[in-house]
Amino acid sequence: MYPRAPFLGGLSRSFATVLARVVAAALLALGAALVAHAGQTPGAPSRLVVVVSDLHMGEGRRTSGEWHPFEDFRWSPEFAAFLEAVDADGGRAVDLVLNGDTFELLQSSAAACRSGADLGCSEEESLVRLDRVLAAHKPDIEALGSFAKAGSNRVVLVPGDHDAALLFPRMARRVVDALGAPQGRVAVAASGTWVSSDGRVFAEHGHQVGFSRGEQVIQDLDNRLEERYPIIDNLAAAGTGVKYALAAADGIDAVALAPRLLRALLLVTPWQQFRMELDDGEVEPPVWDIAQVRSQGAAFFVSSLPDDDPLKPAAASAAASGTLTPLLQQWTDDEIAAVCNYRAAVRRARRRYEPAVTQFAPRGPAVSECPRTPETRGGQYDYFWRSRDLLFARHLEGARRRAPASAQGLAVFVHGHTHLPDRSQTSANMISGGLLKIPMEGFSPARGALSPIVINGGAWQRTITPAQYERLRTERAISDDELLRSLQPEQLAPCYGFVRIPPYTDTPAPAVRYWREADGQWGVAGGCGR
Amino acid sequence: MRFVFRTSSLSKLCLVLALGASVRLQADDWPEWRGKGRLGVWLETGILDKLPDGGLPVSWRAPIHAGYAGPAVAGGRVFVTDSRRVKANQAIERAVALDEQTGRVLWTKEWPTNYSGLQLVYAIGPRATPTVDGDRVYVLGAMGNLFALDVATGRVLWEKDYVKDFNATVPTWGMAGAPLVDGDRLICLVGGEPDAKVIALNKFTGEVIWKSLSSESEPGYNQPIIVEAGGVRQLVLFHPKGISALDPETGKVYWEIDHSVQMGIVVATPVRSGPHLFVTSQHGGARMLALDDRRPAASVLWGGPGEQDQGMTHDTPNTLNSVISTPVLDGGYVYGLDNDGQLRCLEAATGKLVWKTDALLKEHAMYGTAFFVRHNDRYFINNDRGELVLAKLSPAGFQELGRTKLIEPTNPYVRRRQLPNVLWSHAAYANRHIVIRNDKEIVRFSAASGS
Repeated sequence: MYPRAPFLGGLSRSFATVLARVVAAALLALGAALVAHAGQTPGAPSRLVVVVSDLHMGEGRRTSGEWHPFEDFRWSPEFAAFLEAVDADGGRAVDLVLNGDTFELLQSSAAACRSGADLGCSEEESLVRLDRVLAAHKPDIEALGSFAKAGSNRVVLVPGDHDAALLFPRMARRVVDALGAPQGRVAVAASGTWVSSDGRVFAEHGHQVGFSRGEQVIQDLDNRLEERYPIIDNLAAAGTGVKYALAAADGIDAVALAPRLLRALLLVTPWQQFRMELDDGEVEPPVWDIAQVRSQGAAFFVSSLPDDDPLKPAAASAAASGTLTPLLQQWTDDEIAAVCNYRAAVRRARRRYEPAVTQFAPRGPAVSECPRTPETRGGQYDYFWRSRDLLFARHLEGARRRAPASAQGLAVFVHGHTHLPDRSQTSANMISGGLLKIPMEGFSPARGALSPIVINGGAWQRTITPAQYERLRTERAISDDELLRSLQPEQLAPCYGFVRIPPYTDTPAPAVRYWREADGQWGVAGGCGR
Repeated sequence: MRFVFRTSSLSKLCLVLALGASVRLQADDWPEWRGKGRLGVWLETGILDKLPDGGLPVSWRAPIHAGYAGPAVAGGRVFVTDSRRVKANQAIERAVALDEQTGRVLWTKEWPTNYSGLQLVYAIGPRATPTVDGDRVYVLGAMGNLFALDVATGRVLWEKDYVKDFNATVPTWGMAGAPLVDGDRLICLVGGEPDAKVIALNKFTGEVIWKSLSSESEPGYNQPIIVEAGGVRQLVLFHPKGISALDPETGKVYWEIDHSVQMGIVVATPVRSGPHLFVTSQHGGARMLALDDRRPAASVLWGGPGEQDQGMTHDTPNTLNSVISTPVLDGGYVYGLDNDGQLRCLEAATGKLVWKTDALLKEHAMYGTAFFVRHNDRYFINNDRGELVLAKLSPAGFQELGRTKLIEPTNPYVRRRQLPNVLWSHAAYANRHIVIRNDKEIVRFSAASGS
């Protein structure tokens, strides 16, 4: 048994074990292509940093010339144009961080790996998959190689959960060779973290943050259903598409899957910090009565889903059959509190017709609150920020401990994984007491503080939110099945998120930006439009 | 029998008639939000025509604690609610009764509360104006503590807790709906669950008479009113999901018009004139309803966009989106303060913008607020700078007749540019006086002619 790697928090136990094995092997081998903390050059001047993640380059096209339904990266021309723009933006002195899931090595039409689909692949098996991907994405690899060769640009690949096999030394070498850049221009971050030369900016894929949710169930369903529903994994946040697909598809026993799905989906961590502008962070949140929640039994899970949540019927049936009964005993207080916070957020958003929510439409039935302790009876504001902040604060503390001794102190933590970019927001500086409003990208998990900043650039992918999806379904007056079958990734908005950190002398100031087509022109924008 | 009028007798008669005329000089109480009937109309005679250069004479001033709730005046007493922080979010709210003539405190009734969960910058105290009905005064705390108190002693006749008794969730900016007395009923905007957004209680006992409307949306921050239209009396509620009209005796819904308003911010009280019923909000925009004159029904005559509509910002042009300030419907025109503190005039029948001006607040001020009280052909306007402005409003424009400072604005506020604080409390206009409060004091000014 290999030790659990420190950054595997978001993965299922079996997958984490395999990945730990890979990490251990990688750390033992430490080939030339692997660097423990890629990008470190203490004392070097600040450069433009661009972080992209979740490209999910996969199998490419079928022999018939059609895109394989598993293929999510169909954007070679705009990707090449994006790299050229980034190159120009940084004056050919750019650190480009591919922050995980650059390659899709988990989902494959190839034969299952010998250790079983749940257990990941060996180095040999991974190489076969990688070679298919590299061949299918030759233009994209060439574009990356050209970028890496230009000026003093550097490219760092941070492994994610879908391309964790990059930690195998031969895998890393294969990618570095494929890009064909001069020595030192391309690297794979063996520690799973990229740290800027001054130690102020950290980038990790993001699957390491949050509760252990057992996302493998989502991946399995994606694998089974994506042929039928090509955009199932383009719904953001990642995993959301499964809910709609389950409601639409025949032949899937959602009731049997409900316990695992509830864990995966109710504890989802891309809790985009929807709207801070009104609450200023100074409001005391309610405190949930966890003991009373536990006394509710399986009904807690059912009542945690709004009536229009596609997962609700399956959850109700599972509760009736008794399969959810043991769950509450397995869940920690923190996890239950996180769901209560989430419920409060859904409830508040829907009772107030709040805009800009991410995982659900702002209109529709609300859920009830979890019971509160008697002294906290007011309107809620902080809701699930608390759980989100707690998780990120813990994780950042771990990242600090793992940081090289030369690091000056973490100021920015960039992640992806969720496919859901952070919205820009405003933070009121309550520290000064002056209620000064400060435009802010990302958020700080330290209450009342403006740093460190955690920021999620989303996916360099075409994505659609549930609210957009449901609007489309209403406009077209068709069922989930019809919409999911008919929608192709190419029909989604041509807009790709990334994080840009301009050169700085003092404090890095990250921002989520979008490579976006508008009026026939590609360019960088502050949003994707409505 | 012959009646012989002698000169002396005639003189006496004249004197009696004169005295009678003098008695008919109308004096009035201000027993609830916006005065009797919630109309924002001051009917008294003997009111000054011109604001004195040195300001209005002060009858008395008395220290109180913080709060947004305006005062009510009835039966020789002034009622107001306030709050003081004791520790963290814990506060003591209280109702205070003062002698109308002297400002002497007659009694107080305190209750502990906890503002945890409210947006704290605005969690300074109660919002709802007390409602006086005979020998009872009804007061509501920011967290939903409702009391029926004896006006003479402050003794608790009965009490309710919206959260405990009706399973309500206190909205972000606190409970704001002042209870409305209608017959034997006390109609309260509660937000209880299930289906208890509005509740009618027996005003003498507190027993529930009826509950109505789903709480699928928040209750909002509005004030219920009663109008007569379509041959019936209608209880009109403007809430975050729309506008509802109910039978005040049973709670049965007469009609509803969907008009969801983001953030639940519905504050400005609906105003009615003839067939028109006007509602306005920052996010949802404006809606002019036409009340059916034959049956209890209504339709949308016109609507103006709000901040939540596509392409709109908080400075929505060519309409009137009030946040807090209740507008005025007068002579076929709507007058009111837009979200940015701009005074605007619209045609009531069409919604067409007639004019707009920054002259009232003298600054383009987000959430700029003023309270309008009509007196004959002019308006007494309390703006949120603590000023009293006497003005005429007409389609021709805003005509300022005078302006004087009444009280310091002390309410905390995030977005102000010129002043650090605002005044968001409605004044009471009673017995030829103006009673106004901030977070430190309550002051009574004489507004009698010759002041």
